[in-house]
Amino acid sequence: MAKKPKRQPDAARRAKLTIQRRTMYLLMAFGICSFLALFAKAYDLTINRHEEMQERASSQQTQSTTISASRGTIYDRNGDTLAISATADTIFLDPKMIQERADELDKARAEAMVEGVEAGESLPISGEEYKELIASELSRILDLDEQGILDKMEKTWSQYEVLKRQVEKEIGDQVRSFITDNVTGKRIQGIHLLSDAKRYYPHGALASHVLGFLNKDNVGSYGLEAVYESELEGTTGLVVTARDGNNQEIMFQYEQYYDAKDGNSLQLTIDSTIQHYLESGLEEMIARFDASNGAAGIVMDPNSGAILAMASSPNYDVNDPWSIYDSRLQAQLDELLSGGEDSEAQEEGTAGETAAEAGEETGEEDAAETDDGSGTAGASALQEAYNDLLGDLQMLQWRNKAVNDTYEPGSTFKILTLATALEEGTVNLNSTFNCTGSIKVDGWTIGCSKKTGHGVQTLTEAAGNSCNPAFINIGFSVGTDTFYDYMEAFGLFDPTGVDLNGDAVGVVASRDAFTTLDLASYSFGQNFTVTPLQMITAQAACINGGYLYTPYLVDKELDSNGNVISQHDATPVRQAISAETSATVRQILEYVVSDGTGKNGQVAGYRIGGKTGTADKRGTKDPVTNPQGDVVVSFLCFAPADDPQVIMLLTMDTPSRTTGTYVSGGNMVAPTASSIMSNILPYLGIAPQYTEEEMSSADATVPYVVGMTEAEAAAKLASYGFENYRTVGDGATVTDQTPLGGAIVPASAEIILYMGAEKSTELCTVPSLAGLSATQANTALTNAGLIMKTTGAGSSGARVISQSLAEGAQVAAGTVVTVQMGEKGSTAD
Amino acid sequence: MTREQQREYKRQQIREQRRKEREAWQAARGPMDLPFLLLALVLLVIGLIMLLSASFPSAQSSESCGYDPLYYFKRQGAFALLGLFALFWVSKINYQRFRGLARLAIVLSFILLILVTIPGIGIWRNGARRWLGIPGTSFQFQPSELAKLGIIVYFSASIAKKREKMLTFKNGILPYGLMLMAIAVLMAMEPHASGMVLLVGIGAVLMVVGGIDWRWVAAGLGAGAAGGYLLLFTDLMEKIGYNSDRITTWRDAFWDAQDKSFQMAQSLIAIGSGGLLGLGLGKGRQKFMFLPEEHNDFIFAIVCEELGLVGATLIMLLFALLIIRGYWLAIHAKDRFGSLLIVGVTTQIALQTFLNIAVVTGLIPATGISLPFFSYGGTALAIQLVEVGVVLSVSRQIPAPKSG
Repeated sequence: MAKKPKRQPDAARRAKLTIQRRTMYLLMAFGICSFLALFAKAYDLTINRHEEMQERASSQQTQSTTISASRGTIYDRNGDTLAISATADTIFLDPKMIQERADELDKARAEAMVEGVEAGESLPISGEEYKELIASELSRILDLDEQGILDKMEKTWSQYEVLKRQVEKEIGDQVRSFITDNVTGKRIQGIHLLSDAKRYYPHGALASHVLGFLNKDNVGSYGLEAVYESELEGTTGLVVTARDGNNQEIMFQYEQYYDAKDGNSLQLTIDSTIQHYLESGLEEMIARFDASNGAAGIVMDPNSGAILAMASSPNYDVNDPWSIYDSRLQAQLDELLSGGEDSEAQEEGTAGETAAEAGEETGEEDAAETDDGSGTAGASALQEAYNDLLGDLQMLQWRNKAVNDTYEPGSTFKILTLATALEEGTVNLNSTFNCTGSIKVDGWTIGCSKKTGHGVQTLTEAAGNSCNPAFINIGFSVGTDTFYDYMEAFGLFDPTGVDLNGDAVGVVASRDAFTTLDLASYSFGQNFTVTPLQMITAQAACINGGYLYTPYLVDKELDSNGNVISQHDATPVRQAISAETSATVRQILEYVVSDGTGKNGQVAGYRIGGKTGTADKRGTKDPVTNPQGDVVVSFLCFAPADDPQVIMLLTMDTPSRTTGTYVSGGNMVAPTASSIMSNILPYLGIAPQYTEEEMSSADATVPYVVGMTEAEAAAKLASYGFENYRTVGDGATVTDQTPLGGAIVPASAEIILYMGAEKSTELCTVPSLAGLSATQANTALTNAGLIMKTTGAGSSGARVISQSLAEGAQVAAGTVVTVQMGEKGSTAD
Repeated sequence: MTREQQREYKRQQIREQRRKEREAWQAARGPMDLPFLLLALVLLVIGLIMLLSASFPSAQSSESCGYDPLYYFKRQGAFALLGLFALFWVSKINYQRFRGLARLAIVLSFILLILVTIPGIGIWRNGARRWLGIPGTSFQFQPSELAKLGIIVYFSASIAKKREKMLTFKNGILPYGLMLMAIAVLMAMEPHASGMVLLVGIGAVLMVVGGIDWRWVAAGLGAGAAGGYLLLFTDLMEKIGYNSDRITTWRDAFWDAQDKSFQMAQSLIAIGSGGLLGLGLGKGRQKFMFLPEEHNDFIFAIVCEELGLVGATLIMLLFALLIIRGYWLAIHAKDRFGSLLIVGVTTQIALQTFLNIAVVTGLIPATGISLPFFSYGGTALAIQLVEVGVVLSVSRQIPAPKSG
């Protein structure tokens, strides 16, 4: 463009230049610098602080709902439920909210009073009435003290006051319906329920030490519940949903599911019936011999290590493990309380429940209970001592003595000494041993239980006599090293590997320190300790053909649909002795029960092998207070002796020396073992093989003979094995009978046939049978109108040592009274 | 000089006049600046899309929106169309004619700003009186939006005439200073702090560019810096008993995230959770009743959440290019008036963009400034487009670059 350059005035040009220059600065400041600053800030937020913001975002944008997994069920070997989970509610108050609501009501009431009430309408209830309504209803539903609830409501600073934990769902539902539907016509504010799973143990205390229990957070803390926690608990599921700022779900946004996986169930080797026999047997034994340190028992399948029953005493109810159940333990608590402030102790002391509750509360909430003024320093010190003692006693009752505690086995260990020597060939059935009443070892004199000595005995007789000097010689024949090797092979130095926590190992001399003197005492089971489970595992190996098995409690793990996920593999750990040696051991042990110290362990119709044991507890002797010292008495038995299907070990810690029974395993434990075995063996379907003599007292089923003539009835009874009957009345036909048809009673029982006469409704009085012979006892019972059943020693010298129904009890005619026969005069084991 | 000569001279003068007029007419019909127009249009389209994405959750759950998820989008779109017509119409006008409108524009602005402060006329909303309604319609607008245009036109026209007289206090500082102070007082009466910042800011920038003495610039910047420092980095405010939650929030957006710093906290969560690439357009979550004003002042947080740092940077780049192009046009404008008009408009866009994003990201304490082309607000958008039209109008008269 050829245009004449238009000359602007200087001032105008300068002004324009100024504008241009300054606009350039603006361009740089607003077009570049400001955006660099903004970019830096955005970078910082989106990159450096991304994770933090992401976390904040998801925590507010998503809502996750947990889906709780159901904890697996625990079944016994027959599918009987031992532990099962169900929903339960924890109910708590929000005193703050209740107070707010009460204030609102008061305000509304005051307004209504000022304004007046229309006809047909009533004044709103006052805040106080509102609280009372809540308290009275909840106290009714939850069975709580009304005043206690009102007191909790006064804690208006709090929003969480637990009223009752883990109530059953039906009760929770009652509370729910009270909240929504009540006389105020409005939803009750301030009562909350928290649903949670509760563990139920339908059999209560049965197998408590095996099952264990859950802590307050529903995590297994004892027993199988703890060992198999990860298998049982399952996996909690989660639903993550997007939500908006008003807590509404955003429908089209993401939603993620993580399915809950229910826990696996366990099928145990425990048989609840056998467990029940074992537990009641132990209970009875402890009561009879006043054992101060409890007892333990294990019933095992010797051919696999499967534990059929395992019990420990003192026992407890797994549904509420925090209460003290054993009277001996409870007495300690009572003593502490009565030693403190008497009045207070009287108020709160007696019931075990109160005790447990107090313990629970202080356990989880801070002991803020003393702010009502009455709590003095003395009371809180007492409370503290009480809680300490309670804690100790709880630990004591939760202890599984069969696995956690060690003891000196005493003579039951002789089985192992015997097996060792037989296997090594240093003794055989023809070996003889001379017992003079004592033996000198390294300058120490070790006495035999029979001070005068057993004289010359065969190996079998030595075992039958439980002769210490003989067994010391048997031990010596093997030598320290070999003996030690066998103890190792029998697994006595290792945990058994059972699937329970606290699988303890006893105190045993090290190989280097194992002297001849040690060998002498080890030969008869003294000076070292083992657990009952170690002992029975080793003993099972001695009689099952020589195989050492790992004892186990869980046979199968099942998924929630009942499919087997895993099954226990009962492969023996090793063979400790040969099958031949094992057979010889069985033979000798059968002799111990049939003719030796174990006679009280006999069970009619069965071949029982066994060994008694009475072991001194080291360090319990005191020349003044306890000159004889404490002992652990025990009895091991198995049956049938020629083909063992079941083996059982019972131990009892510190029986009283004043019960009139000579303190020994043979006298105290064997009768109980016999009684338990007499239940277990038929239950397991092991058929009894009665001798002629036993046959008469073997059980038979009473036939139904009502409506028959006397002759017909007699024939029918005879065909069922009942020879004795008597008639009452003079009718032509039997109108009634005792026992009733179908009852199982010993064949020796006398059947009463009522010929038209009214059956006597008069009760019979159980006579005292203690010390009577079997014949005398039978006569006494028959005269009383009762029927006798015997268990235990069948020898002629046996006397009644206990009866199933106490003397003086009033029972219906024809009731079966089981009497335990035993030989009182048995020497120590 | 003969009569003939005189006549000839007159004819020549008339020819010259006509030629000038023809030239001016032709200049005014020159091509408008396409880069600036395109940048503005791209930002407008992106802004509308983001508004739709950000606003539908609150629209569909709001009774006043008739539960219509498109409520905000439709209205904003209508104003955008209206604004586009205005844009092209304004861009055809020879901007020299705005000189004559300058006085009218500033007087009208003042009248409206005074009217809005009068209770009963100005509409009271959210603790302030910032809106005027046109009687008989549901149409409402903020006079401060119009005042921005008024100030730009008036200051540009006035300053363009003064040349080096701008260096003096009497001519360069006093009249504009008084005017801005009056505006500041009126804005404080509404109250409308962000409007005050913008109006005074635009005016001040025009004064600076117009050529006031650097000492005044230095003094102004120094005073601003000192004030900002005292306000933000010392506890002076607390000491004189003024407890500013905004400052506390600026220091820590999560100090009371449930209540007082809720909005800032939500904004930072939105931006930060977007990360590098964002959750994807439309897939943001913070707009679901978490982030207040998500379709308005805080729309950029949703941009960051959905498009990530990459998308946000791209949008900031578009803004930066628009602003740079604007100032470039200002530098090349035919005359001082044109330059100042563009500087005013561009500065307004630059200030609003910077302040908005700086607030949303927590770079500066919160004030309510909308983001041009993005934030919901019909009048504001229409006026922005008109302003773009003004810039384009000026751009038509930029002489073509000389060859060589």
